[in-house]
Amino acid sequence: MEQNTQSFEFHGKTIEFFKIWIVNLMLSIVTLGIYSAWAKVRTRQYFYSNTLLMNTPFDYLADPIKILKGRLFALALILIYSFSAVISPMLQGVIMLLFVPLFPWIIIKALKFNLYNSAYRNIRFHFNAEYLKALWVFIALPLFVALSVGLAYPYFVRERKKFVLENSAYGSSKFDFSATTGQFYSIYMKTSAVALSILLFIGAIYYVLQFSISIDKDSMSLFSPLLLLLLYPLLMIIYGYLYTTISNLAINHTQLHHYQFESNLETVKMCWLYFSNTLAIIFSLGLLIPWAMIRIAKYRISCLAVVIDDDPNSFIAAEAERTDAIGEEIGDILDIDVGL
Amino acid sequence: MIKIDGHYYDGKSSIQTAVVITFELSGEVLIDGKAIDIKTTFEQLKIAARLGNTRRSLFLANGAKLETDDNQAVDKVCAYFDSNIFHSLLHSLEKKWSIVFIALFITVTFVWAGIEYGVPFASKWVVKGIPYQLEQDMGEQGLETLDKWLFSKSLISKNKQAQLQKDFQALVATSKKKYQYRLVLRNSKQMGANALALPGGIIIVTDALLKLAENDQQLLAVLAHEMAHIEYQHGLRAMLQDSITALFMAGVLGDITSITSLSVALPTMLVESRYSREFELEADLYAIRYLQQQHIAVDHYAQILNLLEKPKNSAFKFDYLSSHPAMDKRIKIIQGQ
Repeated sequence: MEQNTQSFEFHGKTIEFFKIWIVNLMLSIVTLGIYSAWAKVRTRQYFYSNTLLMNTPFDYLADPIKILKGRLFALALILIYSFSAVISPMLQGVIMLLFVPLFPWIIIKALKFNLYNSAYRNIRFHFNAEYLKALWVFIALPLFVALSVGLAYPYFVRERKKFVLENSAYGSSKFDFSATTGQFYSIYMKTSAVALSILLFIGAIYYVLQFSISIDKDSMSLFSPLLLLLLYPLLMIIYGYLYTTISNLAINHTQLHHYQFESNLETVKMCWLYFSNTLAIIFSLGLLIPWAMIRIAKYRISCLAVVIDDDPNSFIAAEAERTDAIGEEIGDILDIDVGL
Repeated sequence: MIKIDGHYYDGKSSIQTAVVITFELSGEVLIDGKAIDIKTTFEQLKIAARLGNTRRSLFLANGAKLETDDNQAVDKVCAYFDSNIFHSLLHSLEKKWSIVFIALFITVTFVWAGIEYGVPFASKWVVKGIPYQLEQDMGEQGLETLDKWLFSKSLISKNKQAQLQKDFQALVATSKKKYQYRLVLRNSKQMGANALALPGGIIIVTDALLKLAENDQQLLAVLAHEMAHIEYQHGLRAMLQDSITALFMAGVLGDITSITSLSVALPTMLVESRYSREFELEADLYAIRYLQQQHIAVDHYAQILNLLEKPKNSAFKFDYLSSHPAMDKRIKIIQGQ
């Protein structure tokens, strides 16, 4: 069968999105946050329908009312949690414990909602996972990571990616994930080596400064904030490297049927985007946020492709059930990183 | 009659079929393509709201879907048949530059008014409703935690302590509020010369501060400052204001990926430290008023602030990021009174 590589394309425009963004922001503020659910759907829909594969866009179909309900529920949870601390730390501890078994359930619901409301060619995505499996990945494994002083972390990251991808489906076709634990360890080993040498370098500078100007101890306080300022871009580089290599690894080992996905993000470009975006947002007092969002999406999506070796029309849709937005919104507020 | 080019998806497979959609004036809709010949009506179609110039979806009642790039033609059809003003309204808001400038203006005004008046007012109002017992419990628990991690027993002589407690009682007797004030003396290496106020009436003074102060009037000024934090419920208000601010910033800026979190953290920090500086100034004014009532020279307060500032001798004076106003500013205000 003949193979051809189809690239993903992103057609979002900065000015067009800026207008949508500012109207969203205004309506959200004026309605004291109620409109934010609609704003979110419109923003997502803008990015989805500007992402094209084989000249056909993706669709985001979530109902804003459901998202609003989810947000209110999440807000209630947060209020209960923070207010319990005022009454007694004991009570807060109990609530924390109650939250532990709830957490995997929330993650499953969040992924279900997000995927179910994503569609391509009028076929929805799906997510189906067992609760016990989620309990293992999101509760047991993090404990294991802590017990192993972080040594099990690459294994955890791999299991997490695997959990998300292998339980996802497009129509009735499941995704497959074939990256091995060894590959994840290799990436983290390289990263720690680089990070360690950077930290040693900073430590050395700090040490030298400490004894070379030790006559005037007070002036030392001037150098530590500067060193911290230096640390931020360095942390960004480490994060950027991890993000690009892990994303590439995961996507390059993901299949749907026999369609192979490809990703070729570059660390240098990604870091530059992150860095310049941060500066632009700060110095424009937030006005360049839409520009930054479009810019990042454009780069990420342009690095994505899928190798197709037969007729893409052969997917068959599966029957699907609807689920609530509650999980999604909690995931949103707590900023859980379970992204594909 | 309007004809629109589009694609048809039946919802059961991902097969894409090119079709021509014909809208008749009668409301009848015909969908024509290879092996497709569907008759429906405008009422049965669910047309997605327009969003920029992205491809438009038209959902059929049976789960099938049409897609078209011809937004203008769809708009025309909608304008002719449809009465859902909300959908077309949003798009017309989102495309005009004049609206963009108005939105920008309204947003900036609301954010500014929210930070300046809204959040402080709301937290003041909420804090009023907190029962006194709860406030007191929080203070006690706070002290317990601090004792565990930071404080040890005071090494100041019993005589000096008794004298200080006497001065303190005279000070708090001037309060018109319900608080049961309590002065707690502690030693702490980490904290250095410092004084803290906890909700409900507990004021902690470190041994180092007692040694630093040159006379009792200076100490009294600091105590009055801390007392103001309790009277005005600054601790609780700060907690509330900070959480509201953090929630708001996360809501507005939260769409950005976590790496740009600096662009979320920085404005949050700026606003929160601004609130803190306002509280400090408010407490300063309270202390000044107290000293004036007691006919104590306000200069004593300026002197102790100077003494507190000296060992730091900081080269950085980043007022915007600091929880306290720059010392020279505070001293200037005091001397202006």
